[in-house]
Amino acid sequence: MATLEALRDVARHEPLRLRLAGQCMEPALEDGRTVDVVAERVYWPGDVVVFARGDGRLVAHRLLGFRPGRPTRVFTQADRSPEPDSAVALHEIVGRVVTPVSLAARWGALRRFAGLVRRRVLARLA
Amino acid sequence: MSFGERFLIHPDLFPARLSGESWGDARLNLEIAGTSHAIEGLTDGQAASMAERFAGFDSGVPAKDAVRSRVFRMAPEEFRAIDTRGWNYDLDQDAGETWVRIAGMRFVARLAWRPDLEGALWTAASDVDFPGVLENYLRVLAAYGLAAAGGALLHSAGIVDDGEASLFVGVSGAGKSTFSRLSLDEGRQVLSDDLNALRPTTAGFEALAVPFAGDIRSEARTGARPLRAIVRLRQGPEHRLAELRPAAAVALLASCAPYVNRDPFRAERLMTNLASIVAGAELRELAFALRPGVWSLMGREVRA
Repeated sequence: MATLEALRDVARHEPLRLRLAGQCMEPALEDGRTVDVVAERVYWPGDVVVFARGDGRLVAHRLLGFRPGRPTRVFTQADRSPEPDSAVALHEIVGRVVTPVSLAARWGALRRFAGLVRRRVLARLA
Repeated sequence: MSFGERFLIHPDLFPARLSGESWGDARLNLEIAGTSHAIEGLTDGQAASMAERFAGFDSGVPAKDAVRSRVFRMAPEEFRAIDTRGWNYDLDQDAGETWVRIAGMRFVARLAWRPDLEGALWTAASDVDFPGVLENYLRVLAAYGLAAAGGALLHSAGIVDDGEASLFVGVSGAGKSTFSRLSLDEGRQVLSDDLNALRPTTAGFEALAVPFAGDIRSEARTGARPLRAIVRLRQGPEHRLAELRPAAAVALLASCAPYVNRDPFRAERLMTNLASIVAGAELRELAFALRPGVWSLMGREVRA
C-alpha cells in the first residue's frame, strides 16, 4: 500500500496526471484521455474518483454514495457497467478526477445508489 | 593551482588560436543530441577507431550546419606524467566571453564562438588512447552546444516509459545505474544511466541519448522522446514518491549540468534553460528500494 499512500501524497499537493485506459466511463471520459487527479477533503456522489483495486491497479469510476462505519466505505460504478464495484474504504481513494460533473450525472449516481440500497435491504429481508 | 598546471608542463603556452598541425586528412561526421559535428584532421586509424566507438552516431555525410572541430598534434612531452592510482579525473576548465579552454590527460581543447560554436583539440594520443580523449572533448562540446541551444546536458538516468522520457537525477551514489537496471528489468528503455541531453522543442523539451560512457547507454541514435518528468532519485527502505519543489528542481539540475555550471559567463543562460525545463515537467522525488515494482509507482495508467 506504500504505492497508494505515495500517490495520495502527491495528489494532496498537486494534480496527479494519469491516463485513462478503457471505455467504461465513456462518453464522460474517453479512452486514452489524460486527466488530473486531486485529493479532496470531501467527495460527492457523481464525482469520478480514483482508487486501487485489490490487484493494485488504479481504477477511475463514479462515486455513488457512502456506507457509514469504521471505516466508511464508498460505492462506485463505471458509467457503462450494469453493476457496482465492491465497496472500498474511503481512505483508499487517491483523489477526484478533475472534470465537470453535470447535475444529471450527480442525480444519476444518487439514483443508482438508491437502487443499490433498496436491493440490499430487500435481500436482507428476504 | 592555476589553469592547466595539473596536466601541462607549460600551461602558459596554451594554444591561443584554433590552429596547428593536423594529424591527418580523415574526418568523421557525428550526430550528437540533435547537433551535427564534423571532426576534421584525423589519421585513418583515429577515424576508424572513432567510427567503431561511435558507430550508431555516425551520420555519414557532413551537414552544412555542423559544428566544426579540428584535431591537431601536440608533443607527448608537453603533458605531465600522472599517477592515476586513486585519482579522480576531472578536467581543468577556464572561460571567457567568447571562448572556453579545457585541459585534461594528454589533451587540451579550446571552444570559440565566432559567432557560431567551433572547437579545436590538441592531443598526443594517436590511435589507442584517442577515443577516450575525443569523448572527453565531445562531452564538453555537447554540454556547451546544448546550453547555447536552450537545453542542457545532465548527469542523470534517462528512462523511457510509454514513449516519454523521465530523467532521474541524483548525486553520485544516488543509484542512477541501479535504478536503470531495475527499469530495464521492468521493461523500460534506458537512454543512458550517466548523461542525457535535453533540447527545447515547440511543444516543450525532448530527451536524447548521447554516446558517452556509462554502464548502460544507447548504442545508437534513438528518436527524441518528449520529456515527462524530472525526478530526484535516492535509495530508501521502500518505494516512495513525493513532490519536488520547482526551486529545488532547478538547483538539483544546476548541480548536475557538467562544465557549463562552472562557467560564470554562461551561468545565467544555463539557469534560464533549467527554469524552462522545470516549468514544463512533472517534478517528483523518488526513493526506491532494491526490488521490483518501482514502475507501478511511476506508472500512471488508470483503468476506466
